[in-house]
Amino acid sequence: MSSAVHRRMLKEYLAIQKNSATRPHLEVLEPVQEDDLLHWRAILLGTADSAYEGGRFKLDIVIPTNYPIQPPTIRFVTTICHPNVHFKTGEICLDILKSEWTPSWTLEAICVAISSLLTNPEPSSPLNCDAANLLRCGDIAGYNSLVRMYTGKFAIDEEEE
Amino acid sequence: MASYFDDHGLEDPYKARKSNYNNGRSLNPDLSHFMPREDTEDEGNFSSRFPSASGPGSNDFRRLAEMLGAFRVREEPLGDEAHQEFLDNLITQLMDEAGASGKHGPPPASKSFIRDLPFVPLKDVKRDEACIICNENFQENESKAGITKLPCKHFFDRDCIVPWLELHNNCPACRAEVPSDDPDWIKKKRDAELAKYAAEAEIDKDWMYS
Repeated sequence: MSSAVHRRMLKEYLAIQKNSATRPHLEVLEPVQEDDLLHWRAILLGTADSAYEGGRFKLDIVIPTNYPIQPPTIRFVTTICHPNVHFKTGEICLDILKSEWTPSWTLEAICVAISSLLTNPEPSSPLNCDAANLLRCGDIAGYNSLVRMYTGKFAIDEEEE
Repeated sequence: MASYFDDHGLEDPYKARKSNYNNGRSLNPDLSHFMPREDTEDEGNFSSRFPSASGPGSNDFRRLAEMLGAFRVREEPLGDEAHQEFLDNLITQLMDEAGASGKHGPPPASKSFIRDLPFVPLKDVKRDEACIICNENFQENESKAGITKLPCKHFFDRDCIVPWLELHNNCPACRAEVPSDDPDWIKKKRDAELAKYAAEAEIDKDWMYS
């Protein structure tokens, strides 16, 4: 089992390196350490013209030993204000990481999905009720300025450790 | 979101207390210290009853739940109601945790379906086709237990698809459903079918009398 997961991760690793030019919103997607393909990190870039613009959002990715039967565990390391991300823990509420997971997803595809979740929030299943409530009552200006404030506070370069 | 305590520049008493326990990181306790390892256990019925693919830890949770269940039986004559309720809740929660890995998403495929998966000869598979679970090309990877095919005509290595079907009754490539033994799934399926017949009957009636 565990050698199967390593073989598959190695294939994904090679594919990720090859495709690196084709993903504008994914600055980094790499193993934390070269010799451990079960622990990855990624950096998502906030889309231009969105309230996340200019932000760099770090993700922590843990691959279970029975991947791809089970999905990876992914959380935001950078604090982010988003209806489907827990403000304190960085936990992500995304169906493909839970009930809709299938082994045909790859790490790269999931990161792209998380990146598009940023600009397509789903306020009906919130982990951050305050952000979701602003969207649900249609206060887009309020939502955007809140997101922009937190992006500036936690995700813009000079503030990073 | 900023809490009351953040807004007022105070230390959050809950957070301070919680971080003592787990530094705000993993909420899953390491249960391995509490119980014998799997290989030293003489009655190995747990591991055989539940597929190993359901993930590390799930058997540990289950065993802890059983252990607490034994407590409950023993305590019964003495324990008061609140105590009893606490234990019940704890056991339920642990059993939920144990099933959590397979609980998300569709139920397991039926045992008979997994048993009767067809064997597909290598020559029926296209040269450049790969199993989407392990990403290995079928032709280059002959050491495995063979190739099989789901009713939706998607090919998989047998070794790869069986652990998936033991957790979920759909095709990893197209999500097409396969049969399940899960009573809830069977009921839902039957209800959907009845609803379909009812809708058809309704159409027939409209046609006859309009």
